[in-house]
Amino acid sequence: MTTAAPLRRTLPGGLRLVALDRPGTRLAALALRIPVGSAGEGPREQGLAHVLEHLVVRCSLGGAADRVAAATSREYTLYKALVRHHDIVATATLLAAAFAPLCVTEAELADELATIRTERAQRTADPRWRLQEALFAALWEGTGHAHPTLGDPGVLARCTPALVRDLHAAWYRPQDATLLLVTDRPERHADAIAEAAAGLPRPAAPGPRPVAGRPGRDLVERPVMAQVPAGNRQAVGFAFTRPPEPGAAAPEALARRVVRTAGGLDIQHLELRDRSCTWIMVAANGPRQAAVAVARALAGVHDTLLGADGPYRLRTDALVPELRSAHAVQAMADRAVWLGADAALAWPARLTAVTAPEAARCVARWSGQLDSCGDGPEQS
Amino acid sequence: MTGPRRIALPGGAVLVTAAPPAAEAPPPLVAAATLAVPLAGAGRAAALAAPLAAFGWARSVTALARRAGAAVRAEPVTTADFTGLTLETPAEEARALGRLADWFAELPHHPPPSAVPAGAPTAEHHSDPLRRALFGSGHRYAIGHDERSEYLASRSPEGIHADAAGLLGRAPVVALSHAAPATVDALAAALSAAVFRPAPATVPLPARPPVSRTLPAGPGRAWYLLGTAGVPLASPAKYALHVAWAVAGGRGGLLDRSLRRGRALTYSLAAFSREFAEGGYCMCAAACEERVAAEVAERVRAVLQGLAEEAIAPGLLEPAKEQLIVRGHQALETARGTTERLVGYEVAGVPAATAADYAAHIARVTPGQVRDAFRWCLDPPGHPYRRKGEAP
Repeated sequence: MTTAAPLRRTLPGGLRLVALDRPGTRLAALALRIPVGSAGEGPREQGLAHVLEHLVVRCSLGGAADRVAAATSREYTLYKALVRHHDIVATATLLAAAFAPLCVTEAELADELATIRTERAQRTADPRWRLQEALFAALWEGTGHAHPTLGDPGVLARCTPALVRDLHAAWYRPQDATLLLVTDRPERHADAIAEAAAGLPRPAAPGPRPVAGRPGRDLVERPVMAQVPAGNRQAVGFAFTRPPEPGAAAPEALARRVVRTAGGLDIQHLELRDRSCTWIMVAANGPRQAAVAVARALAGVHDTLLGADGPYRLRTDALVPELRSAHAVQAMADRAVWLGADAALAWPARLTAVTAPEAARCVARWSGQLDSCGDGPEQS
Repeated sequence: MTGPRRIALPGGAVLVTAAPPAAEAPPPLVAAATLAVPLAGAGRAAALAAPLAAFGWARSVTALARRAGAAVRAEPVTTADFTGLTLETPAEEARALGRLADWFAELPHHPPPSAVPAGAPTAEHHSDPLRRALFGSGHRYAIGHDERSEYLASRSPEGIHADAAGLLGRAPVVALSHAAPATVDALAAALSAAVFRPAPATVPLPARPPVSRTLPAGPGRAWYLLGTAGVPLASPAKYALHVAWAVAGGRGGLLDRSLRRGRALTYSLAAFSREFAEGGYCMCAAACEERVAAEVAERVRAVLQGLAEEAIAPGLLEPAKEQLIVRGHQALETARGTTERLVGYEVAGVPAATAADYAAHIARVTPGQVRDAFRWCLDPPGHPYRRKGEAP
């Protein structure tokens, strides 16, 4: 089992390097996590964190789109790469170029905005995406978390190269960001990465960071229901959050697996800075029918987990698939992004320690929250 | 490090064991075994029923394992060349995998599943019309989602069981991830106890000319699809084809540059080559607005034609190779990824050790080989070479 503590180091410019050892692997996963997401956007900025992500890949990491996968979420923008050992330093240097002043032309901006319009058209054609966004909008109404990462088409239409340059200078700051590295003996590469980081251009005159509409840590959101049309039926969803709870991630991960396999439900999960969000989506004739179906399925899973077969089902339905890729470097890096480096290293041990009654308690909590969902908004 | 080991057993079955993990690697968390029954020459009904039959086998093996007190997860696995199942278990219980052959032997006497799940599993729905054109509609490689769904919907569980009954007598290929010698011996002994019918030899298919289709994809939207000939898994030409299509496809690839940059014609784009035991195909798929489908088609053809005419610059070649090598290593990071790769190779008659040599072969591909690969795709022997702008 991997046990070495994560290596933590502050690089020149303030970028934090967090490295996890995965002995014996030929690969290295790198992830640059920048705390810039749609939740930090003001009303006239909705969608610009995502625009920046596109432009950084295109203009600052030029030619690296084949190596770097980028994604913008509510709270972070993430640039990821999976490489072999000999490419680690070059890739870290490349990722750190995300902080260099953004040079973007009118044509490049127009091009990426057109691509984002295509992306929006594709996503909005999918009822699951529409339902998910309807749930988030209801759950976090009035906060920066409510609007989709893809943003407001009106805002994007008014976007200019000067605006994105200024936003990039204000939002992309190395001292706020973390570079995660998962590979075999990562300490071998730390000095070279630090050396490369020292030569990076510095962002020009960073402005104040936006702090827009985050739900407060103490805010306990009311569980919500939402529905959108999906062919001849409705896609109905139920969403609920919980505040941070040490040790809750592993039992919930296994409980979700059992709910999917034994309950046949589409259950999703999003880990945020100070809350964890779970949502369940079903196709039904309406909310009442959906609620009954979900309640029945959750009750069945709960009973299964507490029955004689519970420990067996937990192992075969949940533990085995969850452990399957636990030592894969990309999966380790992903967990480090969302749960932290220590939790990522301890993940297999935590999973193995979960009992069927613990997983059943997670399912019981979701059942309880389902009862409080009420009638949500209907979206078209 | 020692490589995979192939053991030909007296009754016709083959057992392949994976190479042990690197000495310094953490102990494996999950152990896996994959059992594959070759589909070559199995007949249309068996090939159509294969995914659902495998689903039934997995359910039966799950029940048998449960009865034996083994914490084994069984999942169906079906490709164009084989059907079967993969068993996974926590690594400390890996010896349970030694019972796989016993459970497999019981399947003919095990009742079929009482419920047929809706739909048919399919991973490459968009390639259906291309595969029909490239392989001929009578070949099992041409079986598509619609044909399979229609067939399965018309069959009872007993009918599916009957369709696939003959498959259970065929010599299986079994691959085992890092297991103790006692587990390997137990599995080998159990597999040797039965006498199986050998699967017919695979017959390489002739290459056909490129085909393209534009399919509706919702209001105002379309998929533009282009398919070309490919090569069988055993062909050494596959490495150049992999590199060639990696240069063309992917984020930042030449198709991406032509279709997205400046025109934003697509957001979803895929291009790849796929090899089976008897043949292969290459494909490009681009999601776009219906009104620009013709422009997408024109640009795709222009990019491929350009690649067939001039040797590619090393600056484009090396990143594409590196991507493939990384993906090759990534595919073998899990126990089941390894066992499913090993049975696929064995069914196609490719030495298991080839899986470990993938990176070296890819690294040796030259710009000229990439150009020749595209020339061959666009103009396989016996078919006229098309010039830029000509419709296939």
